[in-house]
Amino acid sequence: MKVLALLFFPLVALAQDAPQGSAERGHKAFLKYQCYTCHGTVGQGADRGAGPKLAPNPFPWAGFEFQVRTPRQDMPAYRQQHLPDQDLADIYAYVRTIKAPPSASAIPLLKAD
Amino acid sequence: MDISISADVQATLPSLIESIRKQGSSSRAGRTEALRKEYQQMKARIRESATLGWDASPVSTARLHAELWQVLKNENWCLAESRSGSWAARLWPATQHHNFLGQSGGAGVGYIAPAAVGAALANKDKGIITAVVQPDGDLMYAPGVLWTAAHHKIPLLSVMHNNRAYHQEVMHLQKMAGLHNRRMDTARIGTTIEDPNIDYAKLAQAQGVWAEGPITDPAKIGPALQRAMAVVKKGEPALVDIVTQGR
Repeated sequence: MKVLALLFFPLVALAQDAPQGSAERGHKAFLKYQCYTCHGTVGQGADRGAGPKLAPNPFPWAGFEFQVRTPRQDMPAYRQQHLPDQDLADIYAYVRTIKAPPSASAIPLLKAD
Repeated sequence: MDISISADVQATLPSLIESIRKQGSSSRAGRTEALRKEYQQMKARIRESATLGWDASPVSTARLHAELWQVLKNENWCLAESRSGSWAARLWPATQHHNFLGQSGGAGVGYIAPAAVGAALANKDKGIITAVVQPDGDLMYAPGVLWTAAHHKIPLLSVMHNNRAYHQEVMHLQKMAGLHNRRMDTARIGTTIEDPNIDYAKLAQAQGVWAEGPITDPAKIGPALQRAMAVVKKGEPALVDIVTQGR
């Protein structure tokens, strides 16, 4: 158990390290900076590999920030001069508020035939 | 390293057959069961991923395809344009060779609308219901095909994937802006189809095609598609305009 606690400590610490942000401002910033074009307006991701889902359960802050500033694969790099730190913190605050949808078993159209 | 090995099929085949027989039918059955289980788990994961943004407006592309499947699943159906990795390919079971007709082959814009009318004409006498998820930018290359469909009474169910943009270009310009350290919020200049928004239902109606929309509330898609399908089953084209997420 102690080993497990030690293993998970860094992730917990990273999540707590997220800067203060406003989800309301973050929603506006999410649209302004066009995050939604590849990730969808509620962070659901997009068809045919355009962009992965962001929520629910986004990356810990450190990973989120790293991907935005120095992305891998096709995502463009959003540098500080074009996306200030506070706006990014607000976007992260917004993404963290996105709730999980109902499961497929609760949606008649998505039940297995 | 390549190694050339001389072989003779006639000489080898009996040994190969004997070897496969020795593995026995029981292990084959086990493998089939394992594959079936893996397939079902994959399908379950896809259905779960389709729930994300289920009630979003603009409508998610997963929701659009799930709604369209409800009116197609009991028909002998054909999707006139289909791409690997799309929600149709992931959510819908394809059992007939004519279910998915593929795509332009060159990522071309403007192919889908006329190709769909052609597919629907070819399918008409075979009793196959033809549908197309019609991107807005693609339709604007040759919107006159709607008149062709109305004039010749070609039964085609067009469901607009109306993201009000040449969306591939939006994403591409964002990527280029990132590479060149430029602002990315200019990527929509010259790539979006808004201000004014195009009313595709009116565009279709003006050419004699039954149409509804634009629909932004996902709860209204199902009933609209059922009305559209009734028109298609009478042998005429129909179009439902759905305002969607980018992809």
